[in-house]
Amino acid sequence: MDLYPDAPPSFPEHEGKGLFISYCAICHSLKYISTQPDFPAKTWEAEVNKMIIKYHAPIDSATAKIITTYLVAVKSKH
Amino acid sequence: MLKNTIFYAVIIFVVCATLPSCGNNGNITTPASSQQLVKYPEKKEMILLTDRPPQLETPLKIFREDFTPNEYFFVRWHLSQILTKIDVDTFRLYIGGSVDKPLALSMNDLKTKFTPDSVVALAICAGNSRSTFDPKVPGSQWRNGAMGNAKWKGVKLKDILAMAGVKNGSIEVTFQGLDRGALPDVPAFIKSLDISHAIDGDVMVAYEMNGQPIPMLNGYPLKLVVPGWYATYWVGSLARINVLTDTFKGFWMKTAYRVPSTGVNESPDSLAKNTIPISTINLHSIFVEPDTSEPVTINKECIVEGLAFDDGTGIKKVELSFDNGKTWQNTNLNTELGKYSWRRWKYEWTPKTKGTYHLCVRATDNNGHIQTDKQWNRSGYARGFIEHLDVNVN
Repeated sequence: MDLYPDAPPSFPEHEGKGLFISYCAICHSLKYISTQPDFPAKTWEAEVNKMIIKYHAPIDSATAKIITTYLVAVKSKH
Repeated sequence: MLKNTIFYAVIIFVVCATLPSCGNNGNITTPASSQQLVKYPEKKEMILLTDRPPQLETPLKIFREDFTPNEYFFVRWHLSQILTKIDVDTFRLYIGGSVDKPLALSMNDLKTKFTPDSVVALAICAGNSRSTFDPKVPGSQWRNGAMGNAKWKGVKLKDILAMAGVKNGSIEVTFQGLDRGALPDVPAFIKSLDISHAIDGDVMVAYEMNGQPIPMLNGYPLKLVVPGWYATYWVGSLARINVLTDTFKGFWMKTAYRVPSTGVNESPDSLAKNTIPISTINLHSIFVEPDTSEPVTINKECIVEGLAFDDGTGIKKVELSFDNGKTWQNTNLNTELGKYSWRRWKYEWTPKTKGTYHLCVRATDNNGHIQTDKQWNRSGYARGFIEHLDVNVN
């Protein structure tokens, strides 16, 4: 199936960026994250868990932890 | 006939200026992030939220028109695999499940074997205006542009179901489009309605929008139209209708798109325990003009204008305040375009002193319900909060 083109946003360098990009972008573009406001760590943890439990994203728990840590590093107020 | 949009899928990205600040009791402002404008196939410049799947918001100035042009109509898909082209000669709408005679209807069948029906109805995303929730909630950060008013033409769902013959004991009907998730385990986007709602004569399978075929990005060739209900039920690229003798237990009804059973309010500190599927459009009114990026001049007439809408109960009055809600003036309502249309309100204002005015707008429906000034829920759904707009007069 054809797709409409993506315009990938750029994300800051931080540990976990590679796993974040490769897993999250399987099902949706990274705009889903870049257009979100900053959220506390517990919100990002819940979002990653939602993707795994409710949307059945194939992410193991160790990877999920790294992705969550990355999201908190780049999309939370510190 | 092959409808193909991808060959001219040139997408132009423009970063434009920050939105004018839109005060909320003077404390909260619209996110200061810049808007990215894009041009998708069959669309003019719209605000990009996400690109896979596409979520595109209508710029506010387009709401100066009573009918939202198709090329500006908001776009919202849930699953990333959506149609970019389809052969409508081989396309069929399948009706099955608890029916006497399963059907596979071509576009020609729909246009020739049924009496055409039309309705003016507002399509509004359940999460419209989510960016104004405080505290902020995850999800697409729509401003007020995840909605549009259109004249829909198609076939009454009850006529299609009558042709198929709904069996006794049927209680629900499900609707699925041709969109798919990136992985097989992603829950299919399927919505359900009670059988009584499905055959009430309001629900329509539409093949035209504002006198034209529905744009691919809005669900060509067929879209379910559920007047008065949030657009999560308005399934695009509709291809499968299934009549059930049991309650539908799919993800998009049982897990997603739910609100507290007591209404669309809850506290961040104590989330509601019981939830139900979101349903009808909450009473709301918004500002469209003045454009606050332009100065408003003292002793000169300024048109204050906006839109009010609800579930079809009807707008009784819309009031405007210039002093942050202390006193209220009645506005003029334009002619009703239809029970399920939005309703335009206008007020001719000539400010006599300079300064910042804190405008608020509130609608009252025909049952006497009035908009509230506090609202929050975890998903950012069914915004009905009184809108505020700060206007500087020079």
